[in-house]
Amino acid sequence: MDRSERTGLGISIVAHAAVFAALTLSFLKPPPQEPPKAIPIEISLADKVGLESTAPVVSQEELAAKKSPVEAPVEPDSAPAPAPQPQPLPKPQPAPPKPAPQPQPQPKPAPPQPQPKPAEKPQPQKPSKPSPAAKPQPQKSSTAPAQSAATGNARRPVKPTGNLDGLDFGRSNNKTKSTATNNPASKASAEEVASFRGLIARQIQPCANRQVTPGPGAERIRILVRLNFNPDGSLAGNPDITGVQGNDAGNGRYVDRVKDLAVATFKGCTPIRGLPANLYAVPGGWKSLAFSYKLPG
Amino acid sequence: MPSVSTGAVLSPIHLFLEADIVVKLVMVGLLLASLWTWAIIFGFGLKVGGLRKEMQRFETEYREADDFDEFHRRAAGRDQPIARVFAAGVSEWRRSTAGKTIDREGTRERLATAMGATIATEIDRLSDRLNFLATVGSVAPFVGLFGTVWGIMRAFTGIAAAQSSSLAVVAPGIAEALFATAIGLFAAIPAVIAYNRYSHVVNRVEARLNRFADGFHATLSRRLEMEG
Repeated sequence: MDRSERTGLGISIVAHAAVFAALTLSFLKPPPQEPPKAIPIEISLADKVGLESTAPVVSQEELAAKKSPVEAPVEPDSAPAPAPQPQPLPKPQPAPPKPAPQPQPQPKPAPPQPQPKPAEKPQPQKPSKPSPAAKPQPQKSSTAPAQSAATGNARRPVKPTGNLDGLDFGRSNNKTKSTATNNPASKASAEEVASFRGLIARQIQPCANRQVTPGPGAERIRILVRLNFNPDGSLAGNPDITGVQGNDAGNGRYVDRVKDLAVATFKGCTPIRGLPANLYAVPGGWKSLAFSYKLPG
Repeated sequence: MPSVSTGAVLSPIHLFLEADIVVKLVMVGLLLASLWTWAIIFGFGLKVGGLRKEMQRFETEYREADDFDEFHRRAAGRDQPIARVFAAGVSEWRRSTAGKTIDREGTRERLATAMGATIATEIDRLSDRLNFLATVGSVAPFVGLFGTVWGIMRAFTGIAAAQSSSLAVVAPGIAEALFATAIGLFAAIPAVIAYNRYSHVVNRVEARLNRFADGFHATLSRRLEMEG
């Protein structure tokens, strides 16, 4: 082995090491984007027409009060012309008993008093409201047009105006005593069940795809899981494992591992977003759901 | 046989470590063969490159030299094939012309024989390593194939043991097995190319040495007629 051969051997070793390192590093890099894998999906054929009624239960609670309890005022179609009618004139009779306080303090000069009274009455009636004697009569006479409207039986045609008083503005903001915030359905229909189960399955799927098969045959194991949800879509407690299917002699040692994977999958991708709130606590709702878990592949 | 993500499975280290002992031996042997093949390729390339320049320079100096005796004093000690051929001719010439009577025909034959023998020796030495290239080029694919067959047999045994024919079970074993063939081809392809190339180079060097020997033989033969 002469000098040139030793040089060649050195170059050869270095070149082999370089090739080996390049292969190792390039293979350790993450492989290029894998083509999308066709994931088999389960199709559930739900009835469009439920065999059982799912209509909401009619609420027994009272409706809240209306926002605007006042009725629209009826507007007169002309100016209050009939006001100056001389109604007060023929009413002088009932007065005499009332003005008693005036004569009382006075001594008993009886004959002169009754005479001036009837003469005075017609004039001071309107301006002198405070006088206790005149009370019953002046009200009737002065507000004649309003009076007729208030009684209601003689309603006259009204011209449209811009007045919004009295329109129905909806229910008042004051809450009723009811604690219910939504209108629960009586029962989740098959279609709705399929819908929210699909929603949950879609949101769980990314976590399920991340799990790695622990060994050959483990993908035949099915774990039956019951999930209890909180109203906000998060899990209430750990998923309950209610059963195992598909384990045989070949994959029996993977059962515990797959159980752990199932629990991790469901815990990893909750809370679920977008579940229908009115289907939470009804029969067939998503408060408690059974799922079966299976490894991908 | 756990199935890991595909990225790590194809790494050469992983493939080697996962393989059976027989496949490992095959891989190591082929890797060493590849190392030695490339050592020969680089070494021979360097040697032949220097050789051509030396022959070019030696022939130029020989043509420019006035007297081969004087040139022999300068050049005979060089560690070069062409110098050794020249030295063999000169020493035979001196031995043949040392006596009182000179047998011209016999001297010519002996000169030709001596230089031809030296050329053959030099070519033998030069092409000593090339037979290894030829061996690797023809045998390495078969050795790799043997490793592959062995590895696939083992993979099938694994399938039978796991009672599952899913790709995740079969694939790693077959990948390991095929890696042996890959190394075999990796060693064999350069070896075959280099063997063909260097055989051609050796033939050309031999032809050139022969031409030089013929020329020198003609010179000595002319000198022989002038002598005695």
